[in-house]
Amino acid sequence: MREFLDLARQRGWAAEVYWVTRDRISVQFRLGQPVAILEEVADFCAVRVIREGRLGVACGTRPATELVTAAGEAARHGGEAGFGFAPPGPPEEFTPPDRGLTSLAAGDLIPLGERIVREISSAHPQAALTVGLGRTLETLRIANTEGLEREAELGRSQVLFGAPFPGAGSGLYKSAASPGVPDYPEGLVEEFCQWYGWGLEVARPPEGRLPVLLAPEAAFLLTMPLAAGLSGEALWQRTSPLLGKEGERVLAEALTIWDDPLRPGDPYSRPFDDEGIPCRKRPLLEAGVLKGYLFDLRTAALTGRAPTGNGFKRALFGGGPWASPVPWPGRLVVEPGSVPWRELLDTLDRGLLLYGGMGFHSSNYLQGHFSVQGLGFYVEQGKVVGRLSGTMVAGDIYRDLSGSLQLSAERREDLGVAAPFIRVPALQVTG
Amino acid sequence: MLGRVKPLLAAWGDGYADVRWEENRRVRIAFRGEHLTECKTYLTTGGHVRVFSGGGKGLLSVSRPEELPGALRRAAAAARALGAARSHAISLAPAPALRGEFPLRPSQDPRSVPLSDKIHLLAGYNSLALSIPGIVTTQSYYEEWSSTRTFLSSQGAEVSYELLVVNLGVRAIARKGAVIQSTHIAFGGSEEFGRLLGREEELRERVEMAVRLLSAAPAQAGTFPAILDPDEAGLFIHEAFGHLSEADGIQYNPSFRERLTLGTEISSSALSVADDPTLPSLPGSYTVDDEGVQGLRTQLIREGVLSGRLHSRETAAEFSEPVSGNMRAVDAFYTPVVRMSNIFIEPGPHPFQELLAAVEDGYYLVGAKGGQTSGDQFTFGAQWGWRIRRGRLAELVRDINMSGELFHTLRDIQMVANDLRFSERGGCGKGGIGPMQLNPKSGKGAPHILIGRVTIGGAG
Repeated sequence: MREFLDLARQRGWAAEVYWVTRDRISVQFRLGQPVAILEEVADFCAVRVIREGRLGVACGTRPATELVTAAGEAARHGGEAGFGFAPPGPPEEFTPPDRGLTSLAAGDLIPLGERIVREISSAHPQAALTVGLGRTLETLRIANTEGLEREAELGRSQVLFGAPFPGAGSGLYKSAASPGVPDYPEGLVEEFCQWYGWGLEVARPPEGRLPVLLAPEAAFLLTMPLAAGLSGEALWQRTSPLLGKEGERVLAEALTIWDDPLRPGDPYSRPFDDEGIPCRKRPLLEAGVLKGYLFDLRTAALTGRAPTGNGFKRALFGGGPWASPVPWPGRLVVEPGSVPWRELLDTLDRGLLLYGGMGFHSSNYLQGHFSVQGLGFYVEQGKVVGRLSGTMVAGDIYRDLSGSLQLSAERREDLGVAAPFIRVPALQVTG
Repeated sequence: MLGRVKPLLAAWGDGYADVRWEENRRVRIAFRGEHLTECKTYLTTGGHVRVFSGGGKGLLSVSRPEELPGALRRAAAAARALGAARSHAISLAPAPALRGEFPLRPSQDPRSVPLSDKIHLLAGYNSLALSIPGIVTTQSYYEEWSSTRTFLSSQGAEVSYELLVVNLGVRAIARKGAVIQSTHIAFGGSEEFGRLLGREEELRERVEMAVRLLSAAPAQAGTFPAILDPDEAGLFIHEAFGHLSEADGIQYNPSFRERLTLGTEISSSALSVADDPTLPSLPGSYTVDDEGVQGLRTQLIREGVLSGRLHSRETAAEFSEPVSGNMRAVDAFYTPVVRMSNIFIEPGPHPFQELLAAVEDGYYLVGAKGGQTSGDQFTFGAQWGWRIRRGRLAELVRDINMSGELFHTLRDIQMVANDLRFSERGGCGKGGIGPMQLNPKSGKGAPHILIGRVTIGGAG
């Protein structure tokens, strides 16, 4: 890293180096059989150069000279940076991943996969099961010519399993992540077996506005439009419906949502963002009232705000070390309610239980709108009738999730968000 | 670079092994509004190793060439460990051990165009979009993706080949009060830089549509007949049917595999579909796939009958069907998966006006806006739509998408027009056995088609 920065300094450029060393393993099962072991051992580097106020970027796996030169050349023609790289600061306290993860080999995951296959197959022998088990270790280093040097060890294990419903392509999938060696996910397997049974028959809900219970896996229908509206990018471009609404109630009073990348024991925790700004726990919504936006270095500078530690190399599709940092939540956490989720289901009459939605990205979600093909179940008088097939579910979070919501006491850790079950009074159901 | 690997592969006695080594270069330039926000170069090298041994399969990616010999050994050990836990061995269909070099020779190679010229070109289109009254901002990009690959196998294959695609796109965002609408247009989709030039009038027309949409009403939810324009019909055939023609997509789904037996009458007889990487200068064109097999045209549906499938050597062996040369990886950090090349609906006999005249009350969906499928279920957005009343285009509508079930929809394709057009913007996301791969080298095309009944999802 020093070599990169020295090269930039010699040329009179400001520079930032992002370096990730990744070691990943995964074992994949299909139809009850292990079908492949995948491994990756790789280094990726991204160099940002500010040259005479202009920004250029190069990234890849090539030697330092080549990347710094390419970034400098890009900066020669690049746009006005409008921001400076992160200042140095004291190291953050952060718990490194469980040591057991480091020594975990792909072969060690095979027995766990076999157990999941065995347990589900005994309940649903017809299920065409997919099981994936993996472990990711990352060493993330960020340094810049301002004198900042940060390093963090990140790691997690992941378990995913599921199956298409017989005769259909749509299916039910469950996943779990852990900061340590994965355990057998007993509760999740039991839930899968029950829900899969619910989905063996197709049900046709009536068309119109129906109450909907969003499972934690479907909470993205709320959090993705919200995060898009909170983004410094949308504020700067003046396309956010949340522009100028700090301190105003914008969603239901039942909703308190944190950005908390430092959450202890969270497999997705991070001590700093992808620009080296320390992450911190802060409220985005408190009882439905807008409390904070998301800024990276660039959008903070453009809007005259302070960066919030939300510059992440993420995108709806295609994020990764090669992506440019954009304002993105570090770890969204929705405060739970007090009602057991089964009670929310039991009291649902002529409504839907949704665990996903297809086609979200083609919605006008920045404005809070979503229109998806619902993945889930039709429920009558608290009893699941069958799975949805070809049912469109549409809503607007700023209209449909601003009134009376009920949140479950249970909360689940999903990749994008830790959320409870959320009962929405009504969404538009078609088909 | 591969000097230490060749003798290892030549003497390989532990099943089958192959190595793909890549040198990749990408350029991305982006504007947001009037600001040039990205000017980026990607320079990556990397290798991917596959070993089929002891009945199992081990796959490993590395970023340094000196790690390749160790990677081969580690992948072999993983393959054997996996094979020991399997009840039957994974095998590969035979394929000729291809040898040779397959470079690209575009008439105007984007790799030799100065960066400043690319920025200037994009800035011109971006300024034009911003100059249209009602447009509040833009998201404009230039993307160039090239890869030089060498593939070696323990069966003697030794192939070098190039991949190259360049795209320029503009998304224009219009706003009136709380209503925000956008339209998008992309040029290019091949190795030819010249395709990006002189497209101002098409851009202007597309941008003006974003402003018109501000005054349009949202689509009315319900079930209607629908005409899809070539862009939307191409997206439909790619997403809803094409992924099910990829053998690894149904390999582990017994009920789908049974429903998709070759020879099955799968659609109305109006429909014929093919996949063809040999068509020149389209987003999904290539000569050799990423397991050293020559890319071939495959007839997927002929007049309603399922007639072919896309394969890797592994799936070809499992299905006892011919290899097709569709095994592809985005880069060395991904294992190849079975992917479409240029999938398209073959043209039918009807002028577009005949399709329109056949609709009493329905919608005309224009411009693909992303989609998603889950097996037989699909959902696609459109950039805009028109209500059709009594065989004529009536009012413009916004926020329109459609969904349905594949097999019903295929049988409900009532008319196919004679105006086949390939989209210039390629791209496809697919996970499969590994993480999601976003492949820019994926093409799609179609004429207008009329579907008897689809679910239109309108405003909530």
